[in-house]
This record gives sequence, structure tokens and C-alpha cells, in this order.
Amino acid sequence: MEYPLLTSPPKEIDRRIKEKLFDALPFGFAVIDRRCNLVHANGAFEEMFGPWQGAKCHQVYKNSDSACEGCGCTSAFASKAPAVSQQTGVDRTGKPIRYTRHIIPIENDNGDVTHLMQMCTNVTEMEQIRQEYQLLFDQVPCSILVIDRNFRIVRANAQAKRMLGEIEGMRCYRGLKNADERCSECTARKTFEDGGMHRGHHAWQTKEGKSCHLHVITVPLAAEDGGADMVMEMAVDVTETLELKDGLDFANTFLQTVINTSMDGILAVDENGDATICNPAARTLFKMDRDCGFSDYELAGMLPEGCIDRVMAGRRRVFLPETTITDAMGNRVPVRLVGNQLLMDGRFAGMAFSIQDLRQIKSLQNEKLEAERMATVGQTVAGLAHGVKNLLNALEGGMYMLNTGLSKGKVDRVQKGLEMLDRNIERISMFVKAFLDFAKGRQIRAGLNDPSAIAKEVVEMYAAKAKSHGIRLKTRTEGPIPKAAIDYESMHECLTNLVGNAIDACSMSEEVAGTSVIVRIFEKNRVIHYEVTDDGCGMDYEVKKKVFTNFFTTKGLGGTGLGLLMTKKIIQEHGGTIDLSSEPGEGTTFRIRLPRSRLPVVDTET
Amino acid sequence: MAKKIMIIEDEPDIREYLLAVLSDNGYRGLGLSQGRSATKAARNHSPDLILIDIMMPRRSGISIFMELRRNAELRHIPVAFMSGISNGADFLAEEIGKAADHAPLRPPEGFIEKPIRREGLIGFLDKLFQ
Repeated sequence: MEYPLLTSPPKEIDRRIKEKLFDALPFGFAVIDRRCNLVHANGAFEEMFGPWQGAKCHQVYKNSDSACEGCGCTSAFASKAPAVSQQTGVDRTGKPIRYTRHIIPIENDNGDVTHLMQMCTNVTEMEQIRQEYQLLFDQVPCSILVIDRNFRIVRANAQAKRMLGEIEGMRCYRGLKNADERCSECTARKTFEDGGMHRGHHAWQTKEGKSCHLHVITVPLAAEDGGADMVMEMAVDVTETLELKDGLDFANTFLQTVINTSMDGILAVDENGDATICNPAARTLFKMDRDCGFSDYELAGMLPEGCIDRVMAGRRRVFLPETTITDAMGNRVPVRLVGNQLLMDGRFAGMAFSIQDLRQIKSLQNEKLEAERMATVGQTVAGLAHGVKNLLNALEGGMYMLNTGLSKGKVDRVQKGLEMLDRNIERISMFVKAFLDFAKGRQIRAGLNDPSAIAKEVVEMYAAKAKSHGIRLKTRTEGPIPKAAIDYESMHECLTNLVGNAIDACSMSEEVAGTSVIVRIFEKNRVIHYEVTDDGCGMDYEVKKKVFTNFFTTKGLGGTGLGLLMTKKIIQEHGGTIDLSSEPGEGTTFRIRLPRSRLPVVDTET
Repeated sequence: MAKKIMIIEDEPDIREYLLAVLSDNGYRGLGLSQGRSATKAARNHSPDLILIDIMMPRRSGISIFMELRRNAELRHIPVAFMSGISNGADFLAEEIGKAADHAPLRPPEGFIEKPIRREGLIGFLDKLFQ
């Protein structure tokens, strides 16, 4: 098939093209006269602004009856020069519209401007997008910079400006770091070099002069040739994160150092019972190899029996002041142990144990006890010698009386001598028995006992003796005193000594009748007090200072000098103290103080 | 004239024995069971020697000695101690030294260690009064 040849004359074609072109233009096209009447407009214009026939331009563009203030058209008529401006108006549906308007004056042959051509491009959507991007650019929670190839900051978002001040136009090293030269590690340069994305770590200086740390990402802003024309640098402030990390690192190092150098063994297990910490002291204590771990089953065998169950059961720490652990060789080692549950947000996360080796302390304690024992033996021997010499003197006296009585034929002297011998031989046997009792000592076996009951029993025991001398003997218990871990027999012995001494002191008084012995017992601030007060003969300075320190008696051959020494020993074994106040002729008070916190552990076998 | 010896000893058996030894050997003995009335007795009886046991109830021998020595009327009377404590003489010197820190006193005239035998006591006295 053949197409007919185009036969229309060129003028006709020109006209048709113009007609078509006018309507086909992709932007609004209109013509106004000097009175601002719209005389011509294309389809795109009508699409944008609606019907225009017979209307003035401001009516159509702005939906306004009055001419625009500073009307661009009026000035174009006058200047005869084209103009471009950004305008806002109202579209055919009544919505606001943004458009770019070009004005081109049309001159007649005389050179007068009779009409203006107006070309309008709708930019509403573009402007909207531009604004959204700007908002995004400024509001993202990181600093964004656009840097050119000369390392000049072309743009900076609001966050960057808040942090660094007005840095646009500055070299990046100056604006960001207040430096005079480019950075040796420049993330932006890497992106310029290879067009790729790069990350880096930089310290910036804020406008207040503070140093802050940033994690930086640079991405290329592509140029037409595919290379990077500009670089966008995005930076997140990680100062706080780094500070937190530093704090954590420090805490961790500190903890590791403390754990590794601790004299105490430290063990920890996680919630599954797997070992997480076993410090060198623990390895030494348990005789474990360096890399050897342990299971929860093995741990249970190493620690005191029931210890793990107690830690698991309670929320509070488990404190075992004296217990034993079992090392890898099966040896039992005396230790002090503290066990704790590890809780993370209230959730069970494992257990930790701190274990103090008591072997050295035990050995020192034993040495100290031995030294004290030897000192006591020394005192005892000296005192024994003193007592023995006095007894020998009395025997010597008995023999002298016997011999001289016989030689002089004095029967009464013979009788006296025999009595003296008899009495002092009896005393020697009593003395030796007391000495042996003291030397042997007795292990304290504390049971839960009523402290006032012991005092009452001692007082009852002495009641008859006191009465026979006319001495008033009484117990005075003040307030309820709960039971305490006391060795009944030992405390009985102490009070027997003190009450016995007090009665003796009263009997040695010039006027025995009417003297009194009061045993007072009370508890204050968890300390149990016994006070034995007499108004007997009292003691002078020399006697007072020796009562506990020497093997000392004031009762001649009637005492062994061991009673108060024994009393002091027992009180000390109960973790208590004993002291006295005394005035010659006024009387004496012995005070025993037993703090509950230091009382012995109740012996379960008693 | 027999010398008068005052014995201060709380133990009756020893006191009686010593008094018997004294009277058997030409001395006049005077016994006290405790030191409270020592100065009064010394003033009343003007003994030629006071023999004191160191360890006694209520008042120690050392305290009696100090009182005698500090008394202008009585300080001329010789005083001797007797005791069964070990190193008695050293102990005595130390204790008296401590008690008389500020005003040094004339030391006691003697120390007799217990047990006291007849020969020891009489030998000491004879030598003292030679």
C-alpha cells in the first residue's frame, strides 16, 4: 500500500503545527493584555487553573479580585524584559499550588509591549518532596554533612550545626576538629578515591570546645561521570557509649585484678552449675590444676556438706565462720566461707563463694594458745612453789612443835605439833588436787542455758554457809534474760569462786554480821552481766593488781590461788571479760560481761 | 633484855611456830594476824624488829612496810620480810621501788625465804642484833 504524498503547502503546515504545539506544550501557557485580561491559554493551563475565558489573570491564578501587590506583569509591560518567579496560587479545585512562572513580553511592530506570554510549570509536588527531604536532613538523630572535593563543607544539617556551629563553607578539618591540616585518616577522601562507602572513627570538637567521639559513614553523591562529586558524611555521636564502655572495661579489669590477686579463694558457677570463676587462690586451696574446671556435682563434693542447698534455699548470704572444704586430694581444710546467690533482675543467675583459708590462722591461734599455756604454766609453777613453801613451813612448824614438845616433855606442845602436821598434810592433798584440776583444764562445752538459773543455784549452795556467818546472800535478776550458749558447769565454777571469795571477804571483815553478798544478773545491749558484790574487807592496790595475774592467794594456806585464774580462763573461753573494783574496808565487786555475739557455738552433742 | 620481835603472819600455824621458836631461843615474840593494826601495835610495843609476810589478805606486807617507813615515829624500826615467792628479794626490791617512786625509802633490813627453819631465823636475828 502506498501513502499519498504530502501535498499541503508549507504555510498551512506551519499553522497546524503552531495550533497543535500550543495545546501540546507540557506546561500552562497563557497570554494577557495590558489590562491583565486572559486572551489566550492552552489546555495544560486550563488543566492547572480551570476555565479562564473572560477572566483577569489574578482571578484565575490567585482566585483574587484585586490585582497582585507588586504585580510582576505590570513591571514586565514597563521593562519589556522577560522574568521568572516562583508563585503560589490556587488550582482549579481550589487547592494551593506552587508554580514557576516565566513572563515573556510580546512587542508589536512599533516596539510596544501589547501582550505578555506566561508559561507556568507546576512544582507543587517537587516542592513538597524538597521540604520533606530538608526535614529529614535536619531532623535525623545524627550529623549529616555534604563535603566537596576541596574538603569544604557545602551543607550541614541542623544536628551538625547544633553541635558544631555555623560550619558551612569551612574546610571540614577546621569545622569539625578545629585543625589546620587534613586528617591522616580521612574517611571522606577514601570515598572520593574509590567511590565506595567507608566507615571511620573521629573525635570532633564541639562549638563549646568539648571533645566528642563519632562513628562516621561516608557515601558518594554521584557525579554525572559516575564518580563522586561530593561526599555525604553521616556521623553518630558515640561519646556516651564509649564512656560506658570505658567504665565497663575499667570495672571489668578492676574486678579481674581483685579476683585474681585475692588471698581468698573465689568460685562462681552459672545457673547451670558450670564454673565461671575459679581464681588462683581457689585453685591453690583446692589443689586444682590450672586449666581444670569442675562440675556442679564436683563442687558439691568440694564445699561443706549442704552448703550449696543452703545458698540455693535462701536469699540471704550463707556465712560459715568455721567449716571445712575438701581439696582434690581428699584432704579437709579448715576455712571460713561465704556463699551468695547471684541474681540478675531478680532471676537466679548462679552462685558465688568466697573462701578464706584458716590453716595459718589456726596455726597462729594454736601457737598463741600454747604460748599462753606456757605462760600460765610458768605462773602456776611459781605460785605452786609459793604455796608449797608455805605448806612446808607449816609442816616444819608442826615438826618443831612435836620435837621440842617431846624433848621438853610438854604434852600440849606435842599435841599441837601433831595437829599442825595433820592439818597441813590435808592441805597439801587439797592443794595438789586443785592444781591438777587446773592443769588438766576442761574443754568448754556450751549448751543453751538460763544464765540466771546458774547464779541462783550457786547462791542456794552457799546459803547455809552465809547464814551461819550472819552474812546476807541474795540473787537479783533484772528483766528476762533469754537462754544463752554457756557451759553450765564452767560458769557454775566461776560463780562458785566469786561467791565463795565474797563470803570469805565478808568473814574477814571486822564485823562479819550484817555484811552482804549480792549476785546481780542482767542483760544490756545483748551483753549478759554478772556482778558479785560484797561489802567485806575489800582489797588494797597490791592485792587487786595480782588477783588475776599471779598465782596468788590471800587466804594463806586455805586457798590455792587458782580460783580466780580459773575463773578468768573460763570467762575468756566464753568470749567475755572479767574485772573488779575494790576498796579496802568497803568491799569488792567482780563484773563478768558476756557479749552474746562472742559466746561459743552450742555444742550439739551436749 | 630479850629483843622484842613482832611477827605479822596471817597463817596461824606458821605464826604459832615462829613465836615458839622465838621464845625457845631467848627472844620475845609478838604475833599479829593481819596488818591493819600494825602501826598501832608498833607504837604500843616498840619492837626491835618487825617480821612481815608479803602476801596476806586485805593488806599486803609491802603496804604495811610503806606505812611504817613513812611514819616518822616508826621508820627507825628494822623491818624484814618473809615469803615463799620465788626470787623474793628481787620481787620485793622491785615492788617497793614501784610503790615508792616519788619518795625513796630505806630498804628493808632483810628477807627470809620460806620455809623458815629454826636455825635460819635465829641465825638471822643473832646476826642482826650482834
